[in-house]
Amino acid sequence: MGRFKSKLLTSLLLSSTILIFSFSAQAEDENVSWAQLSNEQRQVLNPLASEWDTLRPWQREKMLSIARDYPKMSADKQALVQKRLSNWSRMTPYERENARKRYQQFQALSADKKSELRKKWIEYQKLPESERSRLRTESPEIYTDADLN
Amino acid sequence: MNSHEKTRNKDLNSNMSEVQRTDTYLNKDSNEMANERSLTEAQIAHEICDALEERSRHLTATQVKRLSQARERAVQKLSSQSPTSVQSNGGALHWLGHQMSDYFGHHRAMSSAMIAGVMMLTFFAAQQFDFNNNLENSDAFLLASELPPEAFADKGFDTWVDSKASY
Repeated sequence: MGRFKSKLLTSLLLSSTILIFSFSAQAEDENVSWAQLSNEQRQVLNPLASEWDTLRPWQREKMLSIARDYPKMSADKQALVQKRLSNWSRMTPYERENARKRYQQFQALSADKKSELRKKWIEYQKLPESERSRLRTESPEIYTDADLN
Repeated sequence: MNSHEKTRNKDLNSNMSEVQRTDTYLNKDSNEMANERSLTEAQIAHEICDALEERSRHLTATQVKRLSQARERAVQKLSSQSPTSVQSNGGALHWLGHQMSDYFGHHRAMSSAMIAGVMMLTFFAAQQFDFNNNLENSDAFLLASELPPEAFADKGFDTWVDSKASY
């Protein structure tokens, strides 16, 4: 029984070591500089080249996750990502977190509702900036500082 | 003292010596038992093995044959009971539990490896599930959505849509 326990302990230690290594490797990814990125990552994240080294580790992690998922997308979607990436990186954490929440709700909608919402977005953009600004100030914050830290 | 009395005295002396020997033997035996108590389980088992081996050297051919036959009968009885006793000995689960404990008891290295393997598989399966689950929700897919991220981030748009009509 003692030998069995020691073998079990060894197995647990081995598994834990592998897990720790995988987590530490992930932590290193978050601190990677622009020069340390692979060619593929630099190609995807090119709109962020000038500001990459000023990004905070968690921001880099999010952007690297975009580069990771990028090859799984069609060419049309890849073009959209490239076009929107720069604006996305300039958004505040509040805006990005709100966007993620709304995107998840949008994904759950039917095709008809999605189409309807696309039309409404075009319509909304035609509103005067003053009107849009008023609407923004009327909206309550969805996330607090505590949610984003 | 006649011869009868002499014989009687001799018998009494003999009995007395026998009692004394028994007493000494018992005292010695109890001392040995006390010592044995302090022995470890492994030492006792070792001594039992040695004693049995030592005694077995002096067995006659007849005794060896009888022991062998008794062993065979015991083995036959055991083998006729165990495979068919799935239901009679407390059910299939009980039998399965015994079989599994026997297997893991005898294949400790393999069962340790199996436990480690199951742990690793569970970890990677959980990661894969998390990865697949989050794939469509990742920022990359948000950026490639039918609506631009500004539409999702603009709180004014949300309020305006709510005021016009609910989703």
